Amino acid sequence: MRLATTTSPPRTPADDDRSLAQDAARGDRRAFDRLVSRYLDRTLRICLRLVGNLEDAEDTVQETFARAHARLSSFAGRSTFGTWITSIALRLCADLERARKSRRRHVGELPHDFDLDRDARAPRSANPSLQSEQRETVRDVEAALARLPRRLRVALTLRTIEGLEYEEVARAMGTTIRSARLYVWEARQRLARELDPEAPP
Amino acid sequence: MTARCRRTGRVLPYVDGELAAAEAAAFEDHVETCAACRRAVAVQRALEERLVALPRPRLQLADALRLEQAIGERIDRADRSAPPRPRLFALRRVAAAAAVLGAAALGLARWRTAGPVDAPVAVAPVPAAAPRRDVAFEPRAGDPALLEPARAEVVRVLAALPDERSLDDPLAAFHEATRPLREARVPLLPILEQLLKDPDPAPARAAARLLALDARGRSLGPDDPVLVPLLESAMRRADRGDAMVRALVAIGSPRAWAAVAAACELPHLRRDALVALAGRRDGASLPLLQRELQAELKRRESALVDAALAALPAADEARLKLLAELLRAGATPDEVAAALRRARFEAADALAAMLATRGAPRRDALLLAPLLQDDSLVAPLAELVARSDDPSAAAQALARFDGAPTVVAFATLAADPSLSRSRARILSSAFGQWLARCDDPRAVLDAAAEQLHEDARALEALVGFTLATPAPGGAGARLALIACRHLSPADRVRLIQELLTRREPAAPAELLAILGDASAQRDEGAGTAETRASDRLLAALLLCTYVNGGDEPLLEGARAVGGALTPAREARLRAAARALASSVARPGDRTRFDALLELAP
Repeated sequence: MRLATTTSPPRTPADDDRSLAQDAARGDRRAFDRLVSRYLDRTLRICLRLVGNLEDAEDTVQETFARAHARLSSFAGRSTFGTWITSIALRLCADLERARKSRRRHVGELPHDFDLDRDARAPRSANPSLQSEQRETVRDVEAALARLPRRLRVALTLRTIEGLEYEEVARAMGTTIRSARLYVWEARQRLARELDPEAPP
Repeated sequence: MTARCRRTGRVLPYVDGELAAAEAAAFEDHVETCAACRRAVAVQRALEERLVALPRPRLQLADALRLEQAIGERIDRADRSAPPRPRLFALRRVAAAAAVLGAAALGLARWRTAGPVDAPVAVAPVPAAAPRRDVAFEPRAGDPALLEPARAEVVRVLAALPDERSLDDPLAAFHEATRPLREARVPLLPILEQLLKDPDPAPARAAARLLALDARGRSLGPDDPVLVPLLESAMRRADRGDAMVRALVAIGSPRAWAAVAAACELPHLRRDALVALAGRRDGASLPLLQRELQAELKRRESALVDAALAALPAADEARLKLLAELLRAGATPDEVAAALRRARFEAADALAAMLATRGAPRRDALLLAPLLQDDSLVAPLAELVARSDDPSAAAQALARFDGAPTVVAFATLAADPSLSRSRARILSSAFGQWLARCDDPRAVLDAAAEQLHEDARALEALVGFTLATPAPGGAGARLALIACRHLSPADRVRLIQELLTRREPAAPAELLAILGDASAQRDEGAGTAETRASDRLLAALLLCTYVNGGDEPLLEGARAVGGALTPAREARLRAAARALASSVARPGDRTRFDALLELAP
C-alpha cells in the first residue's frame, strides 16, 4: 500500500519576507526588526551610492525603514519586501538629492570606517604601487559612475553592483523591465566610453 | 578605425548574461570572426571587472546595531506622535524596556561569566516582568564584546551539526539550536561570514557548508554581495578552499560564478572549480570551461578533463559543441560518451536538430552521434547519406553505430531506387566498415533480416552488401546470413555458392549446426512451394560441409537431414560430393552447381 504523502512547495526568501511583513503589520516588532537586519546593509549601500555621503545615507536609511514600518499595511506583497524597501529608499534619495544638492559629495570618498571586511576586498598584490593603481582605478570608476544621469546610475547600481534581477530593478524604479534593461545598457556604454575614450560606440 | 557591425547591439545583452544559451553560443561564433564585436565585448568585459571590483562596504556589527537602534527609536517616536493604538506589542516593549534598564548590567555580566554554551538564554537572571531574551542578549547595548559569546555559541552549534550521512537537516538543526540567539536579534550571517576567515579550518568549513545549504532558501539573510568576496578570499586557503567553492556554487549568482571561475587559477582548487563550472546549469561558463579543458588536454592531462566531463550534462547544443571540441583536442571518447549518455534523451534530440543544420553544428553532431549510440539518430543519419552534400561523413558516422537498426537503415536506403550510384557505393563501403567493427555480426544481421523479412528489396540489398564486402569481414557476414532463417533459401544458396567460389573457409561444426536448423525449417514448411528451394539449400550446405570437412561431416550432415543412409546412398553421396567439389568452385559454374540437388535427401 502506498502511503499518502503531502508535499508543500519550498519556502522562498520572498515568502519568508512576506510572512515577516504580515507579522510586522499586525504589530510584531521583532518581525520588522528581522526585516531591517536583512535589508539594512543593501539599503545603506544603495543610499550611499546615490546620496554620496554616509551621514545622509544613514539618515535616509532610517527614514526608509521608519516609513516602511508606518506603511506596512500597504505592502501588498506584489513585489518582494527587498524591492519595496529599495523603491522607498530610491524615492527618499531622490528627495534628498533635490533638497541637499549643495551638500552632495560623491562616493569617490567612501568612508573607510564603514568597511567591515577590508581584507576580503583588498588588492591581492603585495606590490604597493599596484595597490595604488587599483585604488586609482576604483576612484575613476566611482567618479564616472557619479557623473551618470540619476536613472542610469540607479539602474546600474541595482543591477550590476547589487546584483538584482531586472524585474526587481524595474519594480524598484517604477518602470518596465525593458526600460530597466535600456538604462543599464546605456549606463554601461556611457561608462565604457568615459573610462576608455577609444571604446567603440 | 574599427568598422561597425550590425550585431554590436548583441554585445551588451551578451555580456550582461541576458542571451539564451543558444543565442550566446551563436554570438560567440560571430565574435570569433568579427573584430568590431570582439573589441566591444572586450571593452564591456573590462568594465564589468572594474564594476565588480568596486568596494561594497559592509557595516561593522556595532554600526549595524547602532543603526538598527536608531531606526527603532525613529519608529518609536513616530508611534508616540501617532494617535494611540491598542497594540499588545507596544505594552510588551514598554515592559521589556523597563526590565532592560533595571537588569541589563547584572544580567549581561552573569551571562558572560557563565558562558553561553548550553543555555545562553536561560542562564540570565530575568525579572519576572521582562521577556527573558531582552536581558540575556540585548544587542542594542551596542557592546561588540557581547558578540564573542554568540560567536562561540555558533561555533559550538556548527561543530555539532549532523554530517552528510545523517538524514537530519543540518540547516534546520542550526536554526533550532540558534533560536535563542535569533530571538535576541543576534545577526548570525555576519558571524558566519567572519568564521570563514577563522584560523581554524573546521568552523570555517562548517560555516561555508551551512551557507551553501542556506543558499536556496536564504533563511540566514538576503543574497549579500559581500558574502561572495568573503568566500572568494577564504577559498585561497587550501585547508578550506573546496568548502568555499561548494558554497559559491550553491549561491549561484553571476558574482559567485565569477569567483568559481577565478578558482581555476588556484592549483588546490582547479579540479573543484572545473567540475563546478562543468555542472553549471545555465551554460554561461562554457567558453571558459572549453579554454581551460583544452589547455589541460594540450598538457596531455586528461584526469581533470575526465572529472569535468563527469559533471557535464550534455543536454543542449552549446554543451555538445564543447564536447565535440574536447574530443577533437584529445579527450577520452569513453568519457565523452559517458557525458552524452547521462542526458541521453536531451542529447539525442539536440544531436538530431544539429544534424538537420549545416556547417559546424552538423560536423559536431556527426562526431558525437556514434558515441551516444542512440537508435533515434539512425534515421537522420541515413537521411543525410541519401540527401546531404557530404554523404561520406554521414555514412561513416552511421557505420559506427551498433545494432540491427543500423543494418536495417543501410539495407532500406540501398533498396531505394532513387539512390544514386555514387551514394550506393559510399553506402556499400560504409557497410564494410560497419561489418569490420561489429562484435557479433551474426546476431545483428539475423535481427536485421527478421525486421526486413517483408521487404524483399531491402533483403536483396543486404545480401548485395554482404557479397560486395571482401573477406575476412565479408566471409563472416556471408556465413552469418547463410545461417539466417529470415533470408530466402534461394538467397542462402547464392551465398553458399559465393562462399565456395571464393574458397572462403567455414568450420564444419558451424555448418552442421546451420544444416540442422535448415532441416528443421524445411520440415516445418514441408509440402509448400518452398520445399524444393529448401532442398536445394540443404544440398548446398551438405556440399559446403564436405568441402570444409571431408567425408565424415558430410555423412553426419546427411544423417541430420534425415532419410536412410544405406551403404549405396553413402557411396553415391561421397562420389557426387567429390565430383561437385572439384568443379563447383569455378566462378559462374551454375550448371554444375545445380547438380547439388543430387545431394538432397
